[in-house]
Amino acid sequence: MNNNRMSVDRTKLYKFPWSKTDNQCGWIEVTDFCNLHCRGCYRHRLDGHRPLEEIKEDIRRCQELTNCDGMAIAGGEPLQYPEIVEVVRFIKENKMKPVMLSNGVGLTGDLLKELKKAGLMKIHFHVDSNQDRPDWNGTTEIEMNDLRQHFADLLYKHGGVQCGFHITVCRSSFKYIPDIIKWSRRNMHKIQHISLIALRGIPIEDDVEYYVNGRKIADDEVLNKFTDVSQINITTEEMYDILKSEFPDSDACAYLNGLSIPEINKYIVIVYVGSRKKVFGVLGRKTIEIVQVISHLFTGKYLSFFKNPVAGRKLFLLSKFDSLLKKTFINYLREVRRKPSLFLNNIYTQTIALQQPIEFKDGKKVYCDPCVNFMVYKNKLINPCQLDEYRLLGSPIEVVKINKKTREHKIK
Amino acid sequence: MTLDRKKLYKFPWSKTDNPGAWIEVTDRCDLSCPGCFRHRIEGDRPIEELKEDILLCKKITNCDRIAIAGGEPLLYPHLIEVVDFIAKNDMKPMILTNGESLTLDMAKELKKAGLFQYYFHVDSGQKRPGWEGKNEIELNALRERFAQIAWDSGRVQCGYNITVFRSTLKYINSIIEWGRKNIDKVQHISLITFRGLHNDGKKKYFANGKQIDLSRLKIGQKKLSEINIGTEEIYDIISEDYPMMKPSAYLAGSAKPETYKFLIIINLGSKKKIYGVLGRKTVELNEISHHLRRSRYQAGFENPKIGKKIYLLSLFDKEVRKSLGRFLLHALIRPAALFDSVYLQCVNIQQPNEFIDGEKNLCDGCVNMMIYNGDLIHSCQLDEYRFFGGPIQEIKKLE
Repeated sequence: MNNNRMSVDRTKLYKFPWSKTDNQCGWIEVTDFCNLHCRGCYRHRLDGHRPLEEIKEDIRRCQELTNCDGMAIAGGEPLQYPEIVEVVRFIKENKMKPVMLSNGVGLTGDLLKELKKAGLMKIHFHVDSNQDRPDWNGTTEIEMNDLRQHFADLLYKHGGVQCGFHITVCRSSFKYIPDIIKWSRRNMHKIQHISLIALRGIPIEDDVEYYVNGRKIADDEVLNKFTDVSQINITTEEMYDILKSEFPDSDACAYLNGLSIPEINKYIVIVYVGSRKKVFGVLGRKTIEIVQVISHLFTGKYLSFFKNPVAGRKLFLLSKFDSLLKKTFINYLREVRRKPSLFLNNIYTQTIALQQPIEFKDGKKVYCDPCVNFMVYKNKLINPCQLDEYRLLGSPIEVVKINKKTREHKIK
Repeated sequence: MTLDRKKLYKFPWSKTDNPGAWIEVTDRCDLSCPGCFRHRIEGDRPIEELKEDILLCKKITNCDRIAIAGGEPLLYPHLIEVVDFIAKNDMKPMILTNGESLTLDMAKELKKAGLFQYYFHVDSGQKRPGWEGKNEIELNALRERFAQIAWDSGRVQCGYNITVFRSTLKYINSIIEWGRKNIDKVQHISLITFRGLHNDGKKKYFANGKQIDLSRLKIGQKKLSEINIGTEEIYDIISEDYPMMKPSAYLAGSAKPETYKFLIIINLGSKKKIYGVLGRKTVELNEISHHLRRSRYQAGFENPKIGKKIYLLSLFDKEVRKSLGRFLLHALIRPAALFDSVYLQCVNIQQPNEFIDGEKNLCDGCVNMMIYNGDLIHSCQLDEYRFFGGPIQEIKKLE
């Protein structure tokens, strides 16, 4: 086993039921042009803006293959794409939930209104301290919370578009995880989602060789390479540990494992339950399971996210099946007794996803099982994290660990 | 005919939340079947190592059932102990066997140890002693003999693995017909398309960064026309004679998600008459209700003698509703049908491990993952690990 730490007990977590052909979300890239240069970015500028018709075809094909409920519009920076409103509208018309992944630069109230009218349901803003934003002087993650607050307030003011954040976690910013979460817990009504994504890269090591299509590639052909492995080996367990030490109520409810090393937790998901500014606790594995299977049973799709971010007090009905939610409910009642005005407040949920993206470990390339962001490239379903391996090298990079101990046999 | 995926349920299984897992007790065998991908290298494995692998498998895959495979498990001296160990660890032991050395006494002992199910591998490619030259129709007699042993030993569930070749496609419906007549004793039929590797001279094979010699593997160098039977082709043959046998669920290919690696049809009926099949909603309800209650997915049916309560699901499931209609109509003609027992029987069309356009197309949600050197691997790839240290890759030669 790769993991002797006991901080994550899988028997208490729900493995999401998604797979390649029955998945909650698809992925489309509209452009590879971007106005920022973020640390950890794995996309190269090669093609610029893509033709709208091609994008539409890929969206339909992705829906057909993955049965997705949501469609992430990514890039590059989607707001730079001239026909972005039309893309959102097309996704909505085809009965999927459009979600945009954006750095937020250039998002004005007017553009937001237009996107909302076209059917945009959610924006995940990528905001962290390693983006070198020209219009922002903040340097630590604590200061970046001010910019995040600006975006959250903007969406809240206009209403109707949910708000999430993507934050790349580097060794230098790791210690600020509790500060980010402390901030997000005070904004339960404004923020529906936080992804903490460990910095990724391909390690250059003595005992490792990389191949593409049977050809060994030189170190300088390796995309996104790192010689200092300690920069790119942050795990979800580490993030979970630091989060739990500050907020002991943050029990996880669900996970995704690594494909070639199933012991790795690629996703650890925590769902907070609270009123506007106060968290009462979390929900547990059975609630998330009931939500997924009921959604699939009645709509034929797994749920990407709820249309309405307000869960309401009816959520507590499920505490009959879920001991964590029951604890949260009891805590809620206690708080209401202390401060009865809380009862007038609504009940919100906020998802925290700790993510460990594509990695090379023990001579294996480890994807998420399943990837939740499959995209179509040349009519084929691929992992977006591999797109530039196809575009620049023709095929995915394979890894071989030399001198690995194996039990090779000779025929008797 | 192309299948409409919207009408099929994709099983929610994955590596770490799977109804099935796999253990090989020996690589010795007393037959040499043409589609076999296992080589005799190590012989019988130490029982303690097996127990470790079983526990690790359970921990990683959360499995409900473990398939005891090989080689031929009946040749393994500590088989009873393995069955007992799996059952005592709260999983269902299943044996994959050719049945050659199975006696009623042994079957009774296995039942006592907790055996849940047999999958008998019986097909005409095996050239069994005493059955040489017999076709699939004639082999139904042998299948019936094994079914009887499983039944007599205490109604242990009974399934069959049947490798399908180009030459035996024409017999598929005779096997289906035989299965339908024995729905009380036969719970499962897997029709597995013959697989191998085909090198047209334009490909190279690699493992672990090194080019390898494919001829070391039994499955190397087959004719393309022999190894390209698809699940949908078999389904078409079945639906010609049995139009009501519609699939309800599937597993897709890992590299080519458009392909069907598992296509599941579940017959519903009595020994006298098959009334129809289960639809996707019933299969889905069965999976999720088991998982909600027991926190793991279910392999096969707990009780294949399902009874008439299954018709209650007519409310949600069009196929069950149709079956109920046929049942009631039939009962008008033959009122005694009202007292017949109602059974389920699974027909699974499988397309195993294959290369398509240079990519290895495995089952997405493989139910037969196994432990090898502490790692979870696809059992169909075991000998690639044993020979070459890792799975093989196909690469088109550059022009």
